[in-house]
Amino acid sequence: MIHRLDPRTKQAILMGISVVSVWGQTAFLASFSIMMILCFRSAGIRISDFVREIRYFLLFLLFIYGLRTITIDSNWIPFFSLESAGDAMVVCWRLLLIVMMGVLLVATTRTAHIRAAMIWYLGPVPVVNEKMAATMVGMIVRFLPLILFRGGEISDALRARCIEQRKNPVVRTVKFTIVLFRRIFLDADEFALAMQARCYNEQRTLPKLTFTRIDVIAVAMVFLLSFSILFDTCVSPIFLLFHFG
Amino acid sequence: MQSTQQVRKMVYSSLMAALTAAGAYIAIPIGPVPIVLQNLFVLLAGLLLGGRWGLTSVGAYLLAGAMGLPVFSGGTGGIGKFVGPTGGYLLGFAAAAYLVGVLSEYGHGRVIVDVLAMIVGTLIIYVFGVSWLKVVTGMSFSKAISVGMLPFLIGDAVKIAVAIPIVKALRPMLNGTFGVVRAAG
Repeated sequence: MIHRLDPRTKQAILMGISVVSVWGQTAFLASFSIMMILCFRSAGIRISDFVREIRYFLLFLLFIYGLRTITIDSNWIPFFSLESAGDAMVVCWRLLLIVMMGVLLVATTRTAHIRAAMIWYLGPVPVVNEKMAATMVGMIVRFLPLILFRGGEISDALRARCIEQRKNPVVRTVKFTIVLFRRIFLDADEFALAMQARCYNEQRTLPKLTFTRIDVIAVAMVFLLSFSILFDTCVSPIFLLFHFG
Repeated sequence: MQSTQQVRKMVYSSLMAALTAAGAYIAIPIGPVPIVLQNLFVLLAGLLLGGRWGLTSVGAYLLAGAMGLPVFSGGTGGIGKFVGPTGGYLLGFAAAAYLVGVLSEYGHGRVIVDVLAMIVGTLIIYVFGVSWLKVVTGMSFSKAISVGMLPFLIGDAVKIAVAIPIVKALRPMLNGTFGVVRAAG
């Protein structure tokens, strides 16, 4: 079913859920997770393959979790709070789900269709060159995992060269960042050459997109799922009432 | 077919936008206010790509966020972020990248001009950010400055200090010597 959805519907769902998830807490994220697992099964993507594919991103999430949980106060003393641990978990969970949705979109939709859908959305926006903008947003999505992958590689390489011996955090940051930038700009340069070699041009024939009944069903299901956010907004005050009342 | 230079600049702009997104996830909790690397990459986009492409890069980043991709700070996205309290900073990024790029182009790679350009760019971000924060929250101007600007200034100074060696190392490579580096490596 997911393969047959119109890419415009998939993007609208991605946009809608991203906006709604900002207010979503545990109940919404749990129901959203169940839906994502079902979608992965339906699309024929194994969770183990997905985890292997995003292993560096998972490490990155762990890093974010650590940064958000352990805080250094104005006296430079690190401390751990349960509240910030809960908030950090929600942020990481939300990020993981959005990435899952992005992977699902990429795995079940041709790149040309994603670009065509974005051009359709950006067409009415004045000033913006919708064809170039759509290509660039597509490239951002492709570059994000590459940056994280290269970041993981460079961290390992710097550790192998005893970077921990350098105590100055600015020196460590500069050493990491310069190598990271050099590597990813080399990757980008090769990518640009490959685009040139394939005679890249903005004026390409776009694939034809059509809405069907399945799109209506999918939008209705997501709309229903969004109602689980009400549990978060209702349950929290009730919990507080019992807890402190 | 589009010119080689234009395709390269477009790819680099997208890469800088992706880096800005990656920087938005990382909040280093030093002192009472965490340092977010997002605006370091915005300043770098202006310095490395110039005014026009720096603006294009930040524009693509904002567009990706407006379309719902989780590229804004805290892994959020959506058009709603632009009308929230931090929406002014997002718009300020675009103006800052353009201004930093234009100023550094005039400076022809001189460090002092780059530093001044980054200071001006940072101030522009705060002009947009604090003004919008004041409008949305209804705070007084002095309170908006004390909440939305003063706590971040030390972090901004650190970011400018970090940006200088990065720009010095990368600028020669972006001026067309990549092929040689790859062939030698």
